[in-house]
Amino acid sequence: MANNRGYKRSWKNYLLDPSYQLRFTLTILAVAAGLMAPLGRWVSQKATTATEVALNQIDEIRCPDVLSAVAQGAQAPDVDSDGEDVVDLLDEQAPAEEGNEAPGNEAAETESGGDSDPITAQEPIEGEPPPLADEEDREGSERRERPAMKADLDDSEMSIVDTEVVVVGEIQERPATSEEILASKTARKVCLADVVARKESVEGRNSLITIVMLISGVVLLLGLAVYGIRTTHRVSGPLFKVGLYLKKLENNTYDTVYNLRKGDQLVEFYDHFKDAHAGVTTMQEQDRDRLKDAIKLAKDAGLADSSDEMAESIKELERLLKEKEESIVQKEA
Amino acid sequence: MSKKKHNRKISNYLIDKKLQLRYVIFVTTLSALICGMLGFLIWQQADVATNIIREQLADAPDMADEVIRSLKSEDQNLIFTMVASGVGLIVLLSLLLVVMTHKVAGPLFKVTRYLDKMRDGRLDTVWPLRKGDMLQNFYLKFSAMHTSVKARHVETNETLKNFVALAEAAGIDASGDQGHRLDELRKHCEQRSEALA
Repeated sequence: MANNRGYKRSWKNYLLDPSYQLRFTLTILAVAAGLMAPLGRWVSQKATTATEVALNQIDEIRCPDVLSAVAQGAQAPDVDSDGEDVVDLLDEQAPAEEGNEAPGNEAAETESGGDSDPITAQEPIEGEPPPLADEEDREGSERRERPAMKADLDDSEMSIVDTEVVVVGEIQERPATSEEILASKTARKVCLADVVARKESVEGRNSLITIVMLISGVVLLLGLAVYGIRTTHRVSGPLFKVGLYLKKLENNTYDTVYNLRKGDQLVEFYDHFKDAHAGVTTMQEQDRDRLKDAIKLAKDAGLADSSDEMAESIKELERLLKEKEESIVQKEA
Repeated sequence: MSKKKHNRKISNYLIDKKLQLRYVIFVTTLSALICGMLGFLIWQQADVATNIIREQLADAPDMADEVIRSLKSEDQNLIFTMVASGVGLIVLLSLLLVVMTHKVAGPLFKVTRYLDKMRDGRLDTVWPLRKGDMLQNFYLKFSAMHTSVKARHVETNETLKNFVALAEAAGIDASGDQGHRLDELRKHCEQRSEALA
């Protein structure tokens, strides 16, 4: 009775009990979606907040400026409001080469790659003695003698006054060399590239979170749906099989019960069903045997002629016996 | 077929542990993996923001300690919230699955008890399922089979009892072989009546 007939699973047969399988699976899906949606929203909010904070912080990063050819501490000399002469202490060649351009313009030109080496006068620092005109530059500047100024004033209406040298500034740092400017440019480029890379990384992570979240949601729902249908099928499969035997029993057919397919669930339940099937088959066989006994007794005792009621009863016994035998015959065949 | 009322009990929710826990474990593992992955990504994003702030605070060490402590605390809170949310989601899903699978395992358990009675040759009354139980179609099939089989045995038993009564009325000798066979039939009918009660 426990033979195994090899029925293979087929996708089209996966919904054996649609009402149970769909009800079960859709309920799980609805609840999972209901729980995942607010969680996803929260995740998205947290990710957006973290991303915004990170981006704001990246925006705060200040990359080092490109070094200027003009010394940082240097400033343009003030021109006395009374028209006092301002004496350029150091570079008398610069005005000759560049005309009367402001030092700032020179700096701009230098930044764009010029090789000139302008030096701008600076106001003296309070409390410090003014530097001498022929004082050696602090760091490696070439010492240059100031040419003696000679003027013929015979025809001039200008009164000759001993011009006092006014110190308007001093050089605190030497200007950056072209190599240093190049290095600072490279450093700035690297810094800016790093900022862009960081931004892209943070934004990329945010996009990744969104994509992973969407994929996770789809995977969870699909996983639940597929696994739900598959699991309920593994329950419905044996129940479908049991249902066929139940229908046969209902129609008074005591058929051979075959084993379940490999991988089916409810193996224990199926064993219970097989035992029950065997139990009712035994009951049927007992009834059949008792009916035979009764008919045999009626014949042996000659009861058929005793009364019409007895005759009817024997006929009924014979009808029932025939039914019972027909119902069990298939099992024995 | 009147209805016997059985209330659900929490202790009885895991009727078929193998059937129920198999599905619960699958869903729990899947949810845990997804929650863990999402949580890790959010934590990573928050950690990036924290690290950038920390880098920028390197120039202000007096402020840095307090701010970093605050950021760490926020990050920990985020982790706790994420873990709590993930665990909450998994627990809720697991509970739901236990309830859902219980609605499958419940009817199966009930049918199993009837099947055990049938194995022992007893066909007593089949009561309907509880409201909300699944496998209603299957249970209806089982119930129809049970009713049909029982009806046939009842009919056979009634016919046999009628025959025994008629045979006794016909005056069969109770002490002889025929009387013994009639007695066997009577005993069978009594046993069957008991089994079909």
